[in-house]
Amino acid sequence: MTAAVKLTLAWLALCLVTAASILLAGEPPAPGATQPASLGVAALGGAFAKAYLVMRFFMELGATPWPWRAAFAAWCVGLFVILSAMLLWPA
Amino acid sequence: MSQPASPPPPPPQRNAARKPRFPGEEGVWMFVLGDLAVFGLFFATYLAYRAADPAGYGAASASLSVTAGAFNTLMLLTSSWLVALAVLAARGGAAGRARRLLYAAIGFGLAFAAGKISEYAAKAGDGVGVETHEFFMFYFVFTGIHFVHVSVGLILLTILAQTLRKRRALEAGQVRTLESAGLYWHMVDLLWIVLFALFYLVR
Repeated sequence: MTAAVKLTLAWLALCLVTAASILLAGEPPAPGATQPASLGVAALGGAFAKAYLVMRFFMELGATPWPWRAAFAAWCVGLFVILSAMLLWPA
Repeated sequence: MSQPASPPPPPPQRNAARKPRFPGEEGVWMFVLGDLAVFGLFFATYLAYRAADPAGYGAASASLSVTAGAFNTLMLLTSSWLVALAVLAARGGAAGRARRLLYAAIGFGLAFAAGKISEYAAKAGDGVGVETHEFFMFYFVFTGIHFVHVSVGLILLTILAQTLRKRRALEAGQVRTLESAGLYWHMVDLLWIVLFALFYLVR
């Protein structure tokens, strides 16, 4: 598979995950009501999955030395965990 | 007379053929990581304030157009894809193809900018501003800072596309510069991906 084909497939995957995230988020909650936290976490999950795709295929993170890969992975995973926790267990 | 035994061939170096080439300049990677860290703090701050008034934030968020946000997301994702293809073309020595892909990427970036300005104008027309609700303060400030990043990125890509116009053959330094600019542009895309989720989908 050529590099251009991989990039194009990554772009398609990004578009599909975007569409799926929008469908999953559904309609806005009724005035005064709140969205279930799980839907918010799902939206964040979709966003960070897309972030991984951009890092892996567009930024070519795999071609960098391991400290860079570790740092970006820490940002991606760590931020997802922290933001999800803030949604699930707001202070 | 017996021939002396020839020395055994050296063992193949495990990763010799697979040694990765570091794309772009290390300083740009450092900048990107720093910017991502700062925006990470922004995201956490937004959710911390949101926790105090989830219904109010949800109502404000519901006034945003998911269609507009999805359009902007598609524009930036496509632009990022085209920049990545341009970098590939540049590595293959195809300066003309790289230039055309860059111009296409700039076009999609401008479409994003136009979409964003249109959204801001619509909100202004509805009388919504930074003081309407805390949500909109975060929305306008964070997407505004992101918009500045987009503008800088568009200027960079335009300058690079113009320099490619004057060359038939690409030097290694030029390819590296294009990789670095591409890296910056993908970071801009990354940030919008999270902003879209936080402001448009998390209600």
